[in-house]
Amino acid sequence: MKKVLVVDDSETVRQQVTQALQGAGYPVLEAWDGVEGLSMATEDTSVSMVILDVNMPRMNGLEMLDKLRDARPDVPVLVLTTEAQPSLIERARKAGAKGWLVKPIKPDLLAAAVKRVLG
Amino acid sequence: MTSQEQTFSENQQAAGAVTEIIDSACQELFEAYGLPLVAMKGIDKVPGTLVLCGVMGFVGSNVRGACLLAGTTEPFEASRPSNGALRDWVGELTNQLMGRVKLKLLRRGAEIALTTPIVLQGEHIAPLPRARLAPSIFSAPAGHVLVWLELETRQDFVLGPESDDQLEPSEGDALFF
Repeated sequence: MKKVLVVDDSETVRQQVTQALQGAGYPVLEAWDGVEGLSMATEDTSVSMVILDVNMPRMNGLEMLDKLRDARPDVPVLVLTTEAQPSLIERARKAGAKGWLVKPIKPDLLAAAVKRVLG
Repeated sequence: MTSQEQTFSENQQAAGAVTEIIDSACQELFEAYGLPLVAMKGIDKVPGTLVLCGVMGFVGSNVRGACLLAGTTEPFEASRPSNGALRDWVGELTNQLMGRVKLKLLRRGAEIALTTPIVLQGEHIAPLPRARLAPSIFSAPAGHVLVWLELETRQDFVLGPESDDQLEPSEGDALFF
């Protein structure tokens, strides 16, 4: 199965996402902010997808998305956040994100979203 | 005086409308994590000790203020979807509460930006506002949840009606590009 990296500064959210995706058979890595997430996604070429929060310390999710597009343009990204502002969604879409999920998201819907993007 | 020069002040009408928004958002949020909350009217204290709270500030061109989400331990533990630290979960719940409020305000014409949440731990936690401020109180199957709102607005600010054409995704929605 393809490996998914979840980037969120909330330990609880990371655990929730990890449980949902591992339950669907996906190996999962965790990072707690954009700096760590970008480093892991760039150095570990087995990462096939990134699930990304927006509001995080050090580097926010949209900044990480921009940098990831340069470093790993092949890796699809889903944004998972409490934000639903049209301007932010449009910015993510233009930066190449594959989708925008608004917390809280049900585990089966999250797994289905990952399956839809990874094929 | 231009609108940019107007100062912020307390606005009872707007505070009432925003309190209704926060109260409904709080009940929806805990419900989403399987914990029904029942609003308790006519009281301003709860039995038990408030031990955890999350605080978030917000600011927009017409409104500014802060929201405090507090509770006894039980509702936070019962709503927690994994075994992460309770401190982390209180911060995330506060973040998700204000995310809901932000979206509801956006649909009524008021755009706000949020601060990062601060989590406090103690006993008998309560804000010391400039004016008397009563919390909204909710009972959970075990324990209680309280929400305080402190709000100021530009002079004559009125929250608009909810927009009919909601283009933004709601909580729990997935939007694909």
